[in-house]
Amino acid sequence: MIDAIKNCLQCGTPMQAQKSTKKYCSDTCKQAAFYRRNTKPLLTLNGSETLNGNDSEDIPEEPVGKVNPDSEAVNKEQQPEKIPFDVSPDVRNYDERQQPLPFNVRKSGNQTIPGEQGNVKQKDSSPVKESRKQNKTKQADEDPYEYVQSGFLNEIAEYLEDNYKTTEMFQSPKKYWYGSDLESVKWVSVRFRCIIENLLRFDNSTVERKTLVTVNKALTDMMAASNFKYMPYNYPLTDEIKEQQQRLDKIIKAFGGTFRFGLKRNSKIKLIALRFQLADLVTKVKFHDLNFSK
Amino acid sequence: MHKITKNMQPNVVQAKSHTVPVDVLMDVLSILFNNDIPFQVEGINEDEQSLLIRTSTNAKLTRDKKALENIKTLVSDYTYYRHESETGNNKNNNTDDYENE
Repeated sequence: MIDAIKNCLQCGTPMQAQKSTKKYCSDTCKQAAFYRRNTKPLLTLNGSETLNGNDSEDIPEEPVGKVNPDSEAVNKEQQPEKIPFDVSPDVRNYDERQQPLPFNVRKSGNQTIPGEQGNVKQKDSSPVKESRKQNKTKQADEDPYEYVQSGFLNEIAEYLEDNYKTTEMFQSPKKYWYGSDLESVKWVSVRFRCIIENLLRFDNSTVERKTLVTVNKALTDMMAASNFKYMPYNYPLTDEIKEQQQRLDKIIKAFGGTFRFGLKRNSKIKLIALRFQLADLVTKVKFHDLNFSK
Repeated sequence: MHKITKNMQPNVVQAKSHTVPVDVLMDVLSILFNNDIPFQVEGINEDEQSLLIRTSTNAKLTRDKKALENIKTLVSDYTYYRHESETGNNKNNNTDDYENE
């Protein structure tokens, strides 16, 4: 340990140096000296001079460009001719390039930051701000909008696709049925559609048991009618009609009074698809306008 | 519920009401949440099983426009399957709603 009296190399103030290598009386002077040494190379960055790296111990921990206001004040007093931030736009750009890049620039990955900085350099506005702006816009363009598809609608479409033959038969009934067969097909179809429409309407609503009993009776009557009994063998919804009648029967036996009627997702998808198919063949008719037993 | 608190310029805010069937409600909500679109439920129609949802979007944002377009597509597709398709043989033959008794 040496306690010799030395003068600060920056301000000349006498100081008691505890280390023989100590050159400056304070951190402020140390930093000011650093800027004094490095101002010239920075100004001539594009020229032949390079940064003076001899006094590595004097390089502050903060990156170049982030200046302690105190040290800047010292610089202004002692080195008024070479203050780093009162210099040309080139130097300013160089300094700002040393600052950390904005988050979205790092995230984008493929961006070539130096190229962008080079272009922005010529502009009056801050290159970092411009860079952020550009990257934000690019990022928005790069992220295409992902359309949300409805699983419910997709399942209806899938059902219709799987049962395309039925759709085709109802779209062109004369290809498949004629004469009395076609009449029977239409007679059953218009009634089945009516029942489907009502079941869909009951979904998620409070229903009286007697209402369902009426619907079920209509379905049973329809199945007992001669038009249904002598339906052409290729009518595609015969099994569906029987299935719906059995389901309604179960519900009626299980519930009494008033209850909340709810269709399961798959049942609802199927009923919507069936209604969609039947709509090609028959129109909507009110329940009380139809005679289900004929 | 999402409140309309987004800081937007009044001249670019576009308010629209959508009748959203409950069957596609989750899909519509996911669009609204994913794109941070403020919305309010203005009403519930139990008979129709639908909600009236009011959205406030930024007319200048492509993303908001696409989100609205997405909602419209879902609703119109649903309407197509559920209520329309009176094509071919039965076009223009719609009647009123049913009474089951």
